Amino acid sequence: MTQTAREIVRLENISKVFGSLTALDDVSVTLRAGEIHALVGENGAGKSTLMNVLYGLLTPTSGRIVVGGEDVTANWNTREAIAHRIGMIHQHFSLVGAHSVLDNIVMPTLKWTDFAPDWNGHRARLAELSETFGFDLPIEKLVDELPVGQRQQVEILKMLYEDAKVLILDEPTAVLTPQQADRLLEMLVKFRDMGYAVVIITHKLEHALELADEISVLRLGRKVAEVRKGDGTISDIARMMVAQDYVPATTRLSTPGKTPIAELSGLTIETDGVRTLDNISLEIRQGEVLGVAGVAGNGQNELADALLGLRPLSEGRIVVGGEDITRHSIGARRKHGLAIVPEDRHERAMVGDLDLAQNMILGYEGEAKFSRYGILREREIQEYCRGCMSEFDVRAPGPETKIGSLSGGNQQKAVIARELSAGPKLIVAHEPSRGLDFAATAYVRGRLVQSAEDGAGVLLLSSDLDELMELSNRVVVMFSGRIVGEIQSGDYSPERFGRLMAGLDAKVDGDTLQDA
Amino acid sequence: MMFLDPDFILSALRTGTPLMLVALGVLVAERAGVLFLGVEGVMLTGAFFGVLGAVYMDDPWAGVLTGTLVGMVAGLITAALVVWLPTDQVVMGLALNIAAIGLTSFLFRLAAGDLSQMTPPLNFTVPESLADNAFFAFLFGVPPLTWLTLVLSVVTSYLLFRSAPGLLLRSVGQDVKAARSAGIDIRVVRTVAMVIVGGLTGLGGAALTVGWVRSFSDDITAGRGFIALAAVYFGRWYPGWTLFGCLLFGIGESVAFRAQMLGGNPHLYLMIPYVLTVAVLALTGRARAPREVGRPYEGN
Repeated sequence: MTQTAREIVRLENISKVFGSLTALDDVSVTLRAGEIHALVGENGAGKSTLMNVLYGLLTPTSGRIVVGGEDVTANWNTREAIAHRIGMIHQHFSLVGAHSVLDNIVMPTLKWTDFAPDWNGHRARLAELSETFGFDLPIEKLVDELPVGQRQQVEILKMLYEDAKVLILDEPTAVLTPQQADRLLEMLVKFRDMGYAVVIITHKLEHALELADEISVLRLGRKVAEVRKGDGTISDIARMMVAQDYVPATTRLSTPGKTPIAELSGLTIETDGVRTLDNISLEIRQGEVLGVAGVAGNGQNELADALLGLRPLSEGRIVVGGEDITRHSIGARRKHGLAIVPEDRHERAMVGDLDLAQNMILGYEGEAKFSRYGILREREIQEYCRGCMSEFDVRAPGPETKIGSLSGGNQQKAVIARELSAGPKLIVAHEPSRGLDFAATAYVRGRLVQSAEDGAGVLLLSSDLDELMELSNRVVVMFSGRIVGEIQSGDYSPERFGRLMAGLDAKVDGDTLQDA
Repeated sequence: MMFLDPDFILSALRTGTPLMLVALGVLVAERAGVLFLGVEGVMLTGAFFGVLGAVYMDDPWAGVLTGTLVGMVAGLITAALVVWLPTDQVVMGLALNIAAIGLTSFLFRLAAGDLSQMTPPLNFTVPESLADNAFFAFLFGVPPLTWLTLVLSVVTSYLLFRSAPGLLLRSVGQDVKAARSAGIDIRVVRTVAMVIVGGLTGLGGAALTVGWVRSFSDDITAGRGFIALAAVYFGRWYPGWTLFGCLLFGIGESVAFRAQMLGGNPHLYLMIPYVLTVAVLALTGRARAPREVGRPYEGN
């Protein structure tokens, strides 16, 4: 198309504040016709928030939305966005499963005053559109009956049916098989060539680099870089996503022992033909902190869940302390010496409405020191909780304080206190310092290192390279469910991590990942 | 045959009509994603104000209109509580029902002197020239509100399943996220829906008192609002089957009246329609309500 691309949308200095959280901080992005714009960044970087603002689902705290040269910030909402020919596909689809494909596609274009819609006209127009873009969808079928790939096509057709000229896709390849993803990306290129402005939110950097005319890198709500096509390499961008500046690591561990405390062999999770975890084999030694790096969504969640027993394995074996715990229940695994600090403590590690003492014994309430004949021994529990509070520096008015009212740092310390006090053999720590302030971060990291020195094995899953380099004896890198490389503590460099995380240097079983 | 004469059929229609109107209301509410558990209370309120209107204005149609309007106000109040605040739809529904029993019984005592009389009948009169023809006698015997119900259900059915506002409304009831993403204002849609729903429910209440019993007594609805709720479940949220479910209940009730002539304890016979409801529901099997029913919508 034209070389000097026409500007369609300009987001100027957009900020969005939720309570005490600044989700977007002064972000500006320009979208042009006939260009693909990629938004990349870690989870929580603000990519989706920014596009939700553009699509009118969120109102910006400050900043301007300019569409077609006109300031539309005032009274901007989704109806307006659709009327200004902006369409968006959310990561989790916005389809009515109990309605037919036709109903779903036509619905957003219907007017409340239209009592006798021209259904045959809609059918004909949809058929024509499907023909033009090469879709072949059963339009009378219920969306619930379609496979995921086809549902995404319904979403795309829905946008096209609304006559959208700006197409926003949030993590569109996340739910697709590699083949389907390739087809989708080809389609996006076609849209670009036809003059649409395409926005793709992704953390698959190779997609961004391959497709996009312009890449905006977001980190913690701020736009840290804008890269035009050909101006950056994948490892540059990976590094910008995870860390601003590389500060050489200061803490290093003494050499870990030789005895393996945990062996994972061939862990695989396969759902609907997609391997979210693909043949992971790791050995964690006594006294070792083993880091797991990777761009979020490349199997880290699955690995953590599989270890705890929240997700069933398709294949593989988990051995901790010489005992096979693959078939153990979650409770049995914990009793056997598995501790977990999950990524989302609110959802997985604490009950906000219970007090600190109760949270401190959660999962261990059946032990003799906490209960007798099924009745809780309140005094002992309080005593125990006070002990933990002073040992782990949990700052709270007392054991009867509701844990939900504490700061994030203190909540996390309480979780760590519970998990580490049980004397675990293997500690799985998933993003242990995410969202914590500087002091709490340092404390939590220190405790993990200390546990390792005391003889436990620590598996540290983190998207923070600095954290990984600071704590780990070695780091393995995950990419699309596999381990694609291992770096020993002496060889750490952000560039190496960047290339591995992007799947560039990866070689698994002889074939490069690009073929996958 | 004792049970299949025109009188029996007319009786079944007369008893089924209030239920059908209320069930139509519940169906629209649930299609919009609102669990309308306060239906019993709104029906009772409509029943009371229907009688009040009919007596004071000395016109049954004025009573029907009053019942409908008061129902619409009650629907708006329900919307304010469960859509805008929002409170829990189950708890608030139950509370509204109890409040309605208290309110109507109290107002009934205040107006007791005036309400002791029967309301004017709400019937068509057969033109003399046709009175001898059994068929026309039957047609004119069908209560006017039953005709109205038939018209309303055809209209509702068309609007829900063939028109644009119907599809938009059903989308709100099925998937708030999809609806929001299409630029629909969930709260406004549900509020408007609840006003219509309240109107239908109030009309159903008036159909019970003004259209059939012609007087009011404490808690006269006796769980019919909940039966309507069950009928919607039985009808799997489609008007046709829902109305059929209501008619079944009407038949059960008419059987109960007839059976009392056989002697014995009348309360035993009055149980028939309710037992029938339980039996039919038990055989219905599991049905899936619109997905958003009962879930409070909290906006962003």
